[in-house]
Parts: sequence; structure tokens; C-alpha cells
Amino acid sequence: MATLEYIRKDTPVHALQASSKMLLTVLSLIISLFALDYVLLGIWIIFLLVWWVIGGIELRRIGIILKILLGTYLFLIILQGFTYRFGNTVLFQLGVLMIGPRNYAAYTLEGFLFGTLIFMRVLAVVFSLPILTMTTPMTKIAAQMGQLKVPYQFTLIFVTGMRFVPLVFQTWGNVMQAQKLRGRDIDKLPITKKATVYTAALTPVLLYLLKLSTTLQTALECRAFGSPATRTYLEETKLRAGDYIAQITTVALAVAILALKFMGYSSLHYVIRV
Amino acid sequence: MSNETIAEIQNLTFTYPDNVQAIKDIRLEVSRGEIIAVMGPNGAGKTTLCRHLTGIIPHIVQGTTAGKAIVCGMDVYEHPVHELAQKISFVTQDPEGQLVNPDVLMEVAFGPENLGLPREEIMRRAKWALQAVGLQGYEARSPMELSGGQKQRLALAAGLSMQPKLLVLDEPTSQLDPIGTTEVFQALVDLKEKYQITTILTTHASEDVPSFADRAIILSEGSIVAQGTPSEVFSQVDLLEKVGVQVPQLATLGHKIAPEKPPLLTIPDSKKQIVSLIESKKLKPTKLNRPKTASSGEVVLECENLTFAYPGFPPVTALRNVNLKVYKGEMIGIIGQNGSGKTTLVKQFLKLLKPTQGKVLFRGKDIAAFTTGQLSTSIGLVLQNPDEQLFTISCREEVEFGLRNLKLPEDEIQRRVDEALGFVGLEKQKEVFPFRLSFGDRRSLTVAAVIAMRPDVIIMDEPTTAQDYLGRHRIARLGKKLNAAGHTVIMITHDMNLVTQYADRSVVMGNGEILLDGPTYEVFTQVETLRRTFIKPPPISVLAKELEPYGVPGDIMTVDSMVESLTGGK
Repeated sequence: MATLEYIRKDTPVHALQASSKMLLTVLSLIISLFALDYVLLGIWIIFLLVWWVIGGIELRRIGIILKILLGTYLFLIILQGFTYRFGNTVLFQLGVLMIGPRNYAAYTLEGFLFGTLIFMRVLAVVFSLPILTMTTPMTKIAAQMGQLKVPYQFTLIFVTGMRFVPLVFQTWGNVMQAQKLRGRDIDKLPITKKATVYTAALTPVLLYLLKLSTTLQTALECRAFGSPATRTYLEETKLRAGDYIAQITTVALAVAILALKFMGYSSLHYVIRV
Repeated sequence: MSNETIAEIQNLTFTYPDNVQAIKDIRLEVSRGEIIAVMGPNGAGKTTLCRHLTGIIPHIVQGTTAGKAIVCGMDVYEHPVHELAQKISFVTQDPEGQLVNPDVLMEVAFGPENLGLPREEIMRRAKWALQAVGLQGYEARSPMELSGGQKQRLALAAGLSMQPKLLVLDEPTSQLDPIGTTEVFQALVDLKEKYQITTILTTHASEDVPSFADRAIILSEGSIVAQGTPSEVFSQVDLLEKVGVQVPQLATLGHKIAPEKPPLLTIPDSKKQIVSLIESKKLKPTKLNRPKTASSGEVVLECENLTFAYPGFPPVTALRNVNLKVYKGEMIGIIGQNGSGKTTLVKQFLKLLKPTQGKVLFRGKDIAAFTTGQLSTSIGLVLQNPDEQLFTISCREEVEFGLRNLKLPEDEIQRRVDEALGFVGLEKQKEVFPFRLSFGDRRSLTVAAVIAMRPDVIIMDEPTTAQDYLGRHRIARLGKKLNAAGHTVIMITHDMNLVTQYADRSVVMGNGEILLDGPTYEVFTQVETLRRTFIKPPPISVLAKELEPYGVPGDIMTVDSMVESLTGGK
């Protein structure tokens, strides 16, 4: 969670309205879906990283994200390496597993490259998220969702979710601390014993969550949540010059990438087919 | 106060689904502009009464009910909570679960936003509410970054921003430092004077009640057993002691030295009466023999130039160059305003937090070489919230947990379990599921689990939060008993009466630094320094200072010492 939490800074990206960054996220999703190409996705990822730099998001977080996604990457390259249907160049094989004309025990270069491409697709979306969440206070996101006529109940679920996830982690941490304080060195335990510790910790956490949900319901209703009045949003969502520049640049690049893709551009067509 | 009736409760009785009858035949009429303090021990029915006044019962919490509750002209049974909320604000005692927004400003604006008020009006109310609770300047902070007391103020500000006709507050100051508490009560008086806002609040803060409440109501076992002006109620000392409500120190003093007279509630009145008794030779102040404090001998814990900053952008420095020595056999009270670094300091002793600079030594050895688990066998820390420290299915297993980690033989484990549960008075609840115990008993169970491990040092972090008068003293007496049994005891608390009564030495913290450190009776004479960290001495200390020219020792801190001095121990 800490990787994505809002950090107050004074940067041009922080000054933008949430809509500009939400647009970037949506376009990242579209690019990842429709512009499956090394160069095109690479350009978009670089573009996102420029946002990171301008928004003061430390590039070392790339390492954290890659570490978190390492399992996904390994899964993709293993799966695609053995199953990519246009794979011809065999790098190694674990035996023979013929299904139709294809040996599924053979690991191919094309499969590896395709797995990597799919991973780039994931990165194109994932790298866009910190730009929204780390530079935009949740209040601005909520206000923007309100302006987009998203029902407030959904917005509140989103906002309270973001608020309570760390609270649950905090409670979890406190329960773990309490166990350490009674002589249990959790960090030194083997993984099997750790599982027992975690199971025991679930009881107080679940009871806490139950209590929290009742308190939350009371708190919300006592502050007129559900009132038939039309809700006012304190946050201004009006676009400023910076937003126009950011949005025009983002849309222009996205359109150019999609246009290239639809015109048939492919950087590695001789190796893989998409 | 006006003649307009804000709330009318007629013969209200309520039983929870588990057959606990929480309130019985309550009759109450509240006038506009009144401030009513509802007092009583835990389980007396205070929260249930609040829930009725706000419609939480029956709309969110259900049970069997009889009687009627008309609040702000609305029958609470017939109007949904969001409708009642436009005229009634409710702040519950758990601030954590009430804060749902990402920053302080939005939290305070949330209610008015739901009412669809214009932006300017929302901003005006938010600003005003934050100022009323002393949180101006915190607008952009996340509620998660605030201390417990600050969260409580924020929850109160969120209720205030609704600008209700009736404010219902369930123990709104239970986690606040003394001056923070007084400020909140003063804010209620301001609200009443400026906006005629009526307040009904539950509280254990007896000392403050006379300064803000028009009426005090005492609940016991679900019934109103006394009500009237604070003076009328606090004159019933025997009744209050019987039901377990703290009598203000000055009223107790008055009852002891001149029971036939009206209760003493203010320093000037008390001074006047005592001076006249001294002048008429009915009282003869004498000096007291001070017990020696143990700030010498073997050092068990030591901090050397300890600095700690919580990581963040920017990092928040919580401890600044702290130097402290804890001697074997001491009973120390650590006090200071919310966010002054008290909890951060004790967490360093067990390596739950690692110093940014400096070091902590236990019996002369740097604790960096040990794990928290290893340290816990010598230093026991009871954290603030008992519910985060109980994770087994019976009280017996809860106490066994730590002992098994020590790999003790089975017979020794069982012996210690019996001993520890007996020590806290839970021997009969050995097989009970911990979460079925009362809050006070859950707290005692966490203490039992720690003392069973027989650590040399026992630290209790705000053990009195959300406890009633009897519960607070029970925990403090437990600390004293452990101290008498040879343990070094450190207690963090906002309850100055407890510190002055039980701690031999007091450490006062402010802004991450140690401001004062010494024998408690000396520390509490430093009124100006204490004020800097939002601490005010107990009224009896202030009175003693005022009576110094008449021969009363100026460093008296407890009612018993004052009576002893004035009557020569007779």
C-alpha cells in the first residue's frame, strides 16, 4: 500500500486536477489493450516515467513494483514460452508433449518475447497508477468521481476502502507486536509456525473489523450520509491551463500510438505475430 | 437556557438482544442550551442513553424497548438517523472508526457536504469547528497521522460542524490530555453561549464537571440515582462512592473536613472555607513526612541521547535527544500532552521502534543485540488497546501464551497462570473466551499475561483509557502491588489524580523531550512547565499552593495528604 499512497509535494503533477490523471490512467488501459508492441508500449511507458519524474515520484519505486510483479512476469514467460502458438525457435525442451502439430514441452524464443510483451502491457497500466494515487489526494478523486456522476455510495466505498485498508494493516501490526511482546520472535519462526501465528492473529483482527463496521455505519449516518439533499463537493474540479496542456499532450500521444498500431506498424513482426 | 424543550424521554427501558437490560424507566427532560453531564460506572447505561437520543437505537442497534424518546421535536423511532442527524450530532467514544476521510478538512466538511450546504458555508463551519477543538493548521493532515487525542478532537470537530441543536457526546475526552479536556469542555460552554447548542455528554471527568455542566445525572445499573446541579450531586459523597463515581477532590476534602457544609467545588471557595477554619483554630496545618523515592541504586533501563523520527515526507521527529535512567524498584508516571512522545519512548525500550540516533541500555547492555521477544522476558509492555493483545480462546491460554514461548515446564506454567489470574482477580474466569469479558477485565487480562512472564520492568501504556473511576484505581493499585512485589513499574497516563496518588517519580514529556523529571510532589509544583505540555495539576495541588502562606505544605497532591496536614493525622 505504501507504494501507492498519496504523498504531499509541490509539483506540477500534484497541481493538476484528478481528471487529468484519471484520463492518463484510462488511456494507459486502452494503449495496453490495443497497442501490443514493444516500441509503442515502450514509448508509452517512457511517457509515464516522465510523469513520474515531473510528479516527484522516486524512480526507485520502479524496483519495488518490479519486485512485486516478478511472480507475474515469471508466470507469463513460462506460460507463453511453452504455449505460444507461433513459437518456432526452440531454446530448450523438457521432453515431448505433442498436442496437434505443437510440442508443448518445447520452450520457444517467440513465446518468451510474447510473455515479455504481455508483461509490458501490465507495466503500462501499473506505472500509471502511482501518478494518480501518489499525487492526488483522495478528496480530489472523490470529487472528480462525483462530477462524473458516479453514485456517491460507490465513491464512499472506494474512499473508505483506501482509508481502512491501512487501518486493518495497522491492527494486524499491533497484534503481531503484542505477540512479540509475549516472547514470540515471529521473524525467526519457520514458515509453518508463522502460519499458526497468523491464524491466531485473525481473531482479534476480525473482531476489530466487525466492531469497526458498526462504528462506521453509526458515524456515517450521524453525519447525514444518505440524506436526500444533493451533496456538495468541497473540492473544485475546474480545469486549469496545466490540465489542458497535460490532457492535450496525453491524448495526442495516445492517438498517435493507436494510429500507428491500426496502420499496421509492428516493431518485431518478423519474430512474433500478434 | 430557554424554556424550549430539546429532548424528552419518557419511561424509557431498553434490553439488548442478549437480555442485558441496559436502561430502566429513564425519565428526562432537557431544555435548550443546557449542558448535561451523564456520569456513572462502566455498564451503567450511559452509551445506551446516548444511542436513544440519536436514533442509533432502534435504527442501527436493535433490542426490546418501552417508553418514548422525543428529540428536537422528532420521535426517534419514527425518523431515520440521517434526518435526526440534521439536528442532533453524535460523537462516539472510538474516534478511529468515525474518521472516514483522507484529510482533516474533508473529515470536518463531510457532514455539511452531505447536507448539501453551499461551499462557503461548509468552509466557514469547518474552520470554526477546527478552531473550537484546537486543530487549526492540521487541515491537510491525514487522520491516520494524528495521535489518539487529536483523533478524538477531530471526531468532535466533525460533529460540531453539523451545527446541531443537540450535541450528544459519548466520553469525548477519554483520550485527551488534561488541558485538551478542559478546552473541549470550554468549547461546549462557548457553543452554548453563542449558539444555544444543547449538549448531553457522558464523562468520567468529575473534576471538570462543575466548570461546564448545568446539570449532572448519575446513572447506576441503568437507572438515574441522582440528578441536579453539580453542587447538589457532588454533595452526595456516600452515594457516589457507593455507585463508583469519582467525587471531585475538593468536594471530597470538604466532606472530610466539614461534612455539614455545602460541597466545595472551586479553589476560591475551598480556600475561603479552609482559611476560616484555620483562623478559628479548628484546623492546624502541619508539615508532612515525605516518603523517600528510589531514584538511586541499580539502573535497569537507560536512554542515551535518544532521537527518533517516524519516516514520512517530511519525517516526524517524535523523540529529541532523550536521556533517562530508570532505577530498580521505581514506580514512574510518564505524563505529557497528546503526541508528546510517551508511547514512542516506551516502544524504544522493547525495540518495537529503532532509534534514529542514540541507544537504549537494559542493565547496561545495548538492546540492539536482542530481539523484541528476548527483551519481553525482562521488560513487559502492556499496550493501550487490550483488544489487539488477546488472541486465544480462553483466559488460561492467553496467559499460557507467553509462558510457552519461554519454554517453561508444564507444572510451572500452570502455577504461574493461576498466580497471574489470581493477581488480577480473574481466577474464576479461567476458561472464559477473553472477548466475553468486560473492557476493564480484558485490560486486566493483558496485564496478567505480561506479569506471568515475571519481567523486571512492567510498562503500562495508558491503562486507564475508557475506564471508570473504580477501574482506573484498580489498574493503578495493581501497578502499585506489582511495584511492592519488587517490579519496576512505568505507567503512562493522562489521569493526574492517579499519578499524584501512585507514582513516586514523574517524567513530563513535551514535543519529544523530557521537560521535567523528579519526585512527583516536586514535579507538580512546576505549574508553568506543566502547562506547556497541556498538563494541569490536580485541584488539591493548586489549593495547597494557595494555602502555603497559612502553613499548609505547598507540595501536597492528594486529598488524604491534605486532610492529614490540616488535621495533624487525627
